[in-house]
Amino acid sequence: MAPPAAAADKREGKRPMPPEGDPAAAAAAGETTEQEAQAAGGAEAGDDLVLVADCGAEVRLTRSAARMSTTILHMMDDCAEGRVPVAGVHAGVLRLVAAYCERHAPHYDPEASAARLRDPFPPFSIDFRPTAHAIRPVTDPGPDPHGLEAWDEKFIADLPDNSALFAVILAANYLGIEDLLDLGCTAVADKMRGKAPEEVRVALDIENDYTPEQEAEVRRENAWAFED
Amino acid sequence: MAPRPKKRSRASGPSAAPDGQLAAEIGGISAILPLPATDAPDPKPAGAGGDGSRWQEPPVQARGGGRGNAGVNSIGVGDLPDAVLQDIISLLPTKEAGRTPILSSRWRHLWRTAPLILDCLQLPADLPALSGAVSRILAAHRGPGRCFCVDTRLFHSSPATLDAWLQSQALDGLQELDMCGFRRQNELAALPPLPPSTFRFSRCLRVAALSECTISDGAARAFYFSQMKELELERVSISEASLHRAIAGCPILECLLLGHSVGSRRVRIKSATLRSIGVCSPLLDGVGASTGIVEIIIQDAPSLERLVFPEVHQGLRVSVIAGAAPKLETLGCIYDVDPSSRFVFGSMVIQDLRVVSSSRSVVSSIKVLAINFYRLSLDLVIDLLMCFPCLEKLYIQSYRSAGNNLWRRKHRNLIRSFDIRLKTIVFLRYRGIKSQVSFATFFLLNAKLLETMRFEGGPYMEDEDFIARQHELLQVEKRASIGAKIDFATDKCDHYLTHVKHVHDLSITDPFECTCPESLHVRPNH
Repeated sequence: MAPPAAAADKREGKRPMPPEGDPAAAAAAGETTEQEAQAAGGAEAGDDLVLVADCGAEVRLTRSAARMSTTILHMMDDCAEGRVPVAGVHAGVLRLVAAYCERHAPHYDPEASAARLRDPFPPFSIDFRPTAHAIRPVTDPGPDPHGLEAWDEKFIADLPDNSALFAVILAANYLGIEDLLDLGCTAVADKMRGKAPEEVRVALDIENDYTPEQEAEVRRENAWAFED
Repeated sequence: MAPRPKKRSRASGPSAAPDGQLAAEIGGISAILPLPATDAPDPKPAGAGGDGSRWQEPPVQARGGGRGNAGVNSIGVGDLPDAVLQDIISLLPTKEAGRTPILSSRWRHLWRTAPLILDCLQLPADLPALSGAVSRILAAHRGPGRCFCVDTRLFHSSPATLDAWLQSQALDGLQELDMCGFRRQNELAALPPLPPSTFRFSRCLRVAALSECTISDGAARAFYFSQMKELELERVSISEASLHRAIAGCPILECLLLGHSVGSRRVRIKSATLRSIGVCSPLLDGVGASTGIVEIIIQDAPSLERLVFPEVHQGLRVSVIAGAAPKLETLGCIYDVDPSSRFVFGSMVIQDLRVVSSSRSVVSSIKVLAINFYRLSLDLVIDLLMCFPCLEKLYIQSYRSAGNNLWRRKHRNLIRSFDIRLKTIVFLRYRGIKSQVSFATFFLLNAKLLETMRFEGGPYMEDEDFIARQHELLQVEKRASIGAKIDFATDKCDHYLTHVKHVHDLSITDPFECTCPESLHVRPNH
């Protein structure tokens, strides 16, 4: 039986926190019912990996989800009993990353991911002068057939603070999960966009360590950006 | 040339942490994210939002290197490796990206080598200032370039300057080149030639929107872009042979937008990779002649999914050879403005929105169709439905009515024998008059698979009385599909039915769906 914590997790839907060593509850770490069925089917079914964080905590991850991480992909076959040691990533972050991979794995297309054009006309509204004749693309949120975009939005919104966001980015970078890294970078850019530098510093907790002379020099170097 | 250089590695950058330190740093956020063995389930609700809210107030310590007010063990943005920060910078608008060096010393030199997005539309509009700003940016940045959107006024005032700019190091590895034209109807004379430096991006350019220039035969011979996926030629002077050579020079091209080009009359499409084609033709001039493309022949396009006509077209002839486009799903917007417009699908011929072929051939791949009628006629639409039996989504826009569109007697047999598979119908410029109501009730009462019927019109669409009256007239209670949603919306977006303004838009699955922000005030009514 899944303990109440897991049920609460399912309601929140975001951060799974299974007590260690409980395979059925560990299954709650994912969003998909397929994973549940798998985990319920047996511990070392041969289909699940166990990521082991530095502190010893274990996070279950299906092989199909693990393929989203190029790092784990290369380590998968060399690891005894499907136990993959993941150094330098906190267990909580690892669980977040695992949840992301489980949710995205069924729709993962490695080639599309690698070749994806970083959209230079992102779907935020650009406040340019309304010249009716300028050729601009229509904003296109596009269909979200699998609910992935909505899930991603919630994933980011549920992160408690910037530190967690940066930790997820670092983990995604280390583990080579392009899509999650993009998601994280976009989230940071979203926090910066439309803000004056002082506001950006506040939003991201950046300390201004320039002397006034240095700051003036930087302004001169990039004068074009500070005009208007 | 990898599509996107994967420069990110955790070891890059001065403050990227090696393994042990990283673990210790992240270990510090155990205060935030509970550890497995020792924790009770998290009592605080998730969804606190990212910006600055903390679960626990860490001690405030002043630190350099971007940690700011974060506690000793939490991760600051400055701990991210250079390559990651540069990716973040490349997501910002041009000016804001240029301002990042002022944030802190950690950020000072990042912009200079972050992928450059230089968008002229975000810089001062006045030409000398714009030109100065672009020059300074290109001089200061070390490359690589990702996107360069250049105002064609700069190009026309000094083509040599644009050529020199394209050679700057800041634009090395450019992935997108956008010549933002300002549509001028009649000034197509003396277009300067495409800057030759464009061809130095032949191995990296993925999106090109070239406008208001001339592509000579010589340039077309050199036109080879191995990574090009989206190509737009807007008001370009190019001969027919050169146009074909240019298209053939993009072996993996997926989206092609030909707008108002001069010099080519007939386009033959033969491409294994093209998925989406858009064609705009200038209107006929005073003597009924067209200066642009008059005929499109799809000879062999196994991947083609969308064939769209973003603007009103006159005298356009489109032929799809039988079996040439088996995946063609989206078609439109078709107009009945000019009697010489013709659509041919194998042996099926649609002329001026009338089905004139005698054979009963059908095109069963088409699922989305957009029609613009000058005179609304249910009979014509029914004929079209019979030619596209698998149609799922229909967009109709009309100006006047032809007759009352009565159907109960006329199409009695049809209703019994023919299954209307439409799922979504969008009726634009709806005024609620008798002929339109009659038209709409035909579908409401007979389309058993209908999921949504949306009416868009003027401000009267928000009036309760109007909607109630329409419900009566449309006999909504007797609708054939119980689950159908009937929506009345005000159309605030002044646009063509086809939302394609830039080649990017060709990759939208449904180019007729209006996703403009704040354009629809939808009142769902059942």
